[in-house]
Amino acid sequence: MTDTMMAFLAMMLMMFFSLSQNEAIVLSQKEAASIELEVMAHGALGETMQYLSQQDFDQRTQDGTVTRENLDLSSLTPPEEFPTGQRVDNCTAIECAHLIYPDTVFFPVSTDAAGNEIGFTFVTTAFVQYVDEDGNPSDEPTWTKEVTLYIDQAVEEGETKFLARHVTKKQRFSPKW
Amino acid sequence: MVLLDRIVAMLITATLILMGLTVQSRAQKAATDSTMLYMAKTQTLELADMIEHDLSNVGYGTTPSEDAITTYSKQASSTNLDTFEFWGIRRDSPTGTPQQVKVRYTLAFADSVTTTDGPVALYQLTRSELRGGTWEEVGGSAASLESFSIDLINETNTIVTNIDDARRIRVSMVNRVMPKVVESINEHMDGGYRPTFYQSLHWRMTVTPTNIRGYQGS
Repeated sequence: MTDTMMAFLAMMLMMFFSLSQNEAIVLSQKEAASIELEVMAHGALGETMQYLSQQDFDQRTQDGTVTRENLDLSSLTPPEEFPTGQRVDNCTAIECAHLIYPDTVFFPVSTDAAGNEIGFTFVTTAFVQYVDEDGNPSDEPTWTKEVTLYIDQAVEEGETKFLARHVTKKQRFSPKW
Repeated sequence: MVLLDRIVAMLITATLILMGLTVQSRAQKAATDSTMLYMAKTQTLELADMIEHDLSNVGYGTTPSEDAITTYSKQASSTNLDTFEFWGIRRDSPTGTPQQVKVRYTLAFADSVTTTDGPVALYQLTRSELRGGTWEEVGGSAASLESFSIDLINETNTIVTNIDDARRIRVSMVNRVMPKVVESINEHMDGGYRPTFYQSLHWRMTVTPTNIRGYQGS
């Protein structure tokens, strides 16, 4: 009887060990899928940041209120007046990217037999703030704006989310003159 | 009877040990795969950063009479890049003075591996800088790129082949993640060796360098 109980105990311990190890294997495979999506997300994020880098530093530099000859810092758009909910395609100045309407970016991976592109869709959001010379956030306008882009996998109902964590990218911009 | 009990006990013990070893082996392999994939991700993103930095500064120091992109060709019967030369930027140190330098990307065949999906050709990207009249290798990729292509795009977002019409640059690559010693994880099927690739890392980006918008082709 004792021997039988010991045998059962041994088998039970082995089952628990096997279960925990298999859980670790599943987590590794999920992480592998997430890493693939992370690399794609970096590419998508880079494209969005490239688009923003083409825009003017500020509405006031765009309309000529603030120029290289008229370096009036106080005329730049104050942080509390940054627009929100804009669509990224309508952004003509860096501050328009602040809390933009979530923009979707499609990353193609391959094509199916019919020639349609297959890939993953990501959704981006952004946060813009002024920073001082030391890189610390500033409540007053400065000559440097820091844009932080966040990207995550866009998932329809019933789809599986592979990207385990969102990816971020920061870049600072100054007037282009 | 006692002997029979002992034999049964030994069999059960052996079975449990075998189960434990099998599960542990699989878990160890998964941990190794995870580490290798993380390293491949880091390597791919470092390569991506280098490319993004280079292409964002295409045309650095050029004047209205100079083309930012000077050479562009693809491999025969392929979308893969062959050679891409442009005026770029170089710094000898992170705080050093930036200098204009001619940069060349070349993609060369590195190896062919037979996998469960069939033969796969792998390439290696080499980045060179023209210093003192001599091309010197400065950076590049591992010999694990399944594809690497650079497309030139004009102002109407159409892919072009004439470098004079280029206004944007799109780069795409697929980095295959595989074990260094392929034979060690071969799966024997029908008596043949079939190496297994773990993952493919896809990356692409479209860059609009400031200096090619006005000067290229002028």
